[in-house]
Amino acid sequence: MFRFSIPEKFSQARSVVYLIEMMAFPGPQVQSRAKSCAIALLSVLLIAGCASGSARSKPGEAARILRDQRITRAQLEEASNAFADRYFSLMLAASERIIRGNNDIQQCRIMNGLRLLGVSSMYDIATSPDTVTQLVDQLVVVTLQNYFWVDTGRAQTIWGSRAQYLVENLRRAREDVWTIAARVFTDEQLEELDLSIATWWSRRGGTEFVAYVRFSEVASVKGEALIETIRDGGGLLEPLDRATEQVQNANLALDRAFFWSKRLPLFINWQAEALWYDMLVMPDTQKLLASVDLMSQAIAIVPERMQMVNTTVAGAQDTARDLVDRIFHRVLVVLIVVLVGTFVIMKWRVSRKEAAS
Amino acid sequence: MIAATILISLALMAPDSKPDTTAQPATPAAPTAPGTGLVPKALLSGGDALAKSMQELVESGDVYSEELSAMVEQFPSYAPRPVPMTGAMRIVGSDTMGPLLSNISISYQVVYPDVKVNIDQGGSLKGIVALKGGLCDMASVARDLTAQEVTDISKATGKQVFVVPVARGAACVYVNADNPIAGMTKEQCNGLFSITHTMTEVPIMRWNELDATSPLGNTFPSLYVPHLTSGTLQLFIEWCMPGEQITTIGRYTEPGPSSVVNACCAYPTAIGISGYANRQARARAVPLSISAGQPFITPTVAAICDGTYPLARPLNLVFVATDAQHIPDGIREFLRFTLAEDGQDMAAMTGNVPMDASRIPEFLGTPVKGVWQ
Repeated sequence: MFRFSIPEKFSQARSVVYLIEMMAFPGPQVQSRAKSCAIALLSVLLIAGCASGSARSKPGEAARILRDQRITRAQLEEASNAFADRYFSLMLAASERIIRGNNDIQQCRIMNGLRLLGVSSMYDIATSPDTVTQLVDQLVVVTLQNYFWVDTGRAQTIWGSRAQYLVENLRRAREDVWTIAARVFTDEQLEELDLSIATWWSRRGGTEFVAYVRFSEVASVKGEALIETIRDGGGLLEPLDRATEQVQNANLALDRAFFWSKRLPLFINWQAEALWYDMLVMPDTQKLLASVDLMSQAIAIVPERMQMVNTTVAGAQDTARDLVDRIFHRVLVVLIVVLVGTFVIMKWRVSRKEAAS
Repeated sequence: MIAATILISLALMAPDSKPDTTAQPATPAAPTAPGTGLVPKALLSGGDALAKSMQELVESGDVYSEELSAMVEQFPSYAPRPVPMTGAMRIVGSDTMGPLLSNISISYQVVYPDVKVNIDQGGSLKGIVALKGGLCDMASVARDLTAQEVTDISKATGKQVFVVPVARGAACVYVNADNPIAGMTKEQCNGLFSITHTMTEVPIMRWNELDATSPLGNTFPSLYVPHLTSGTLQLFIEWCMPGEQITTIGRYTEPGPSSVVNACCAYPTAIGISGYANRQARARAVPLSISAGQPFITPTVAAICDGTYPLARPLNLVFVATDAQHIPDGIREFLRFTLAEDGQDMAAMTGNVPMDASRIPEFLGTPVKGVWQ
């Protein structure tokens, strides 16, 4: 099922980018009209730039920006928590589209289980003790979920056309978490992460419960070394000495507990639903449901049967009435014949007596 | 509280299964067919139709065909050396070859526990640069090297360059599995991906310009590509837009080749460039033709082996040595292992096509009775 997902403003932006590209790389196919448009556009941009009066960057500013761009642990913690919330929203949106109005209990049950496991895993990660590990664990889980549910076509197999909502939202989660990771890891470190996950998946592609796979398992010893490197400032995360780190960890522990306790009620009803779906698919429940179904079918038949009885009774009444009518007619005919006969006989006897006398 | 919630969740979801969180074994695991994942089989017992379709999915996930198996069996076996190997080796380069080399290195380190093989990816070009600068022992390059590149490496290192194909693959143009496009010509690829589109009069910007009957109508294709150092992308550029720049319109550069294919699996309007080994059920590799009017060729094992698929390529390991008699032992042994049944088994398992067994380089020696000695 195709969906038109690119907004109209993208179309305008695309035309502008095309003009700029043509100007930067003029090929033999460039039409003079396109050139004129591009020059006009450039002029507008230049005028707008001059009017804004922006100052030129000072020497050393680039270095300062680079230093300022280093993400702090607090920022990373916030990003990780925000991602867990974003993941919750994405799963909620996808699951509502799949479950609402869906009469297939199995489909609903699997979707509910997926969102319950995924979201609880994501919040579990977000409230784990180490900030860097949180991020890589989130990255691993979301990437593996994409391999597992999106790439292999499992989602389509289970939910059919409804799966598209889940598929797109899982992909969006992947884009988001890799964007956050790009603020913490260098390109080389990201490549290492990608390789670790791809290698692990190629060896363990059939693994169930991808939501509970963690980076320590995927990358083994190499992964620990990577996290240590990041902690020590070998990436884009602000380095922190170990003493300060411990104090920060203690402070963050309270925040994490608070964070978790606030979000728990959000999906506690999913657990109730999981229990409900579990009950629905249990063999005894299925038997009970089948019995109820049979009973309701039987009850549904009663009016029909009643109608049939009514029809039969009405038919019998008609038949009886017809029979009575016919009998009556016959009796009447016989009676008339007898009376006429009697009258004729009596008349004959009277006439014979008169003749004899 | 967290643990309790997780336990409750697990208990609710899978009364018969436990999460698989055990450490992965050091020995290579047999290729596992995709299971039913988060959905334990017992859970599916209620829905026969669903269970059946899941079973079909499991069976369709078997990528290691008999055709590949026959190719792997052509290779000699590997017998470990009586004197164990030691030392370290660094291989830098192709993202496409990353999982293949990573898997081979894991198995190789099981045979020789005292050897440390470090695999770094980042693109074939990165590997070539690293080899030129003496920063690695071998470069993994997922395409043919140009004569200029060979000369440059040779000049920079003062040594002879050896290129050893260890598997075969292809660069593919992927779309969503539901996209019915029959194929793409070289000119169409140029019009879609090139800024200057020298092969088409106007750029191709909409799906119905690419395929008049496309159900996507006049929507814009989103282009997903690996980074510019990728050998896959370089091969594609060299094929359909040599010397031209890749467009920035609606282009998304992905962190890895698997991410490109993932985008194609997820988004109906996506179109991406990635390796043959990265194919997935929900993405379709579009058949390509070398020109309008020419037949479309689908990337299959046969088409890659006979070279009829236009973007078929060797996956090479490149190293330098004074001459063929002075190849470092570590490199020679690793190459023998890679060009043995074990290594080619990994090649097939990771979605690549095994090498032609008759093309094993002479400098690696001759197997005795089908075994590397």
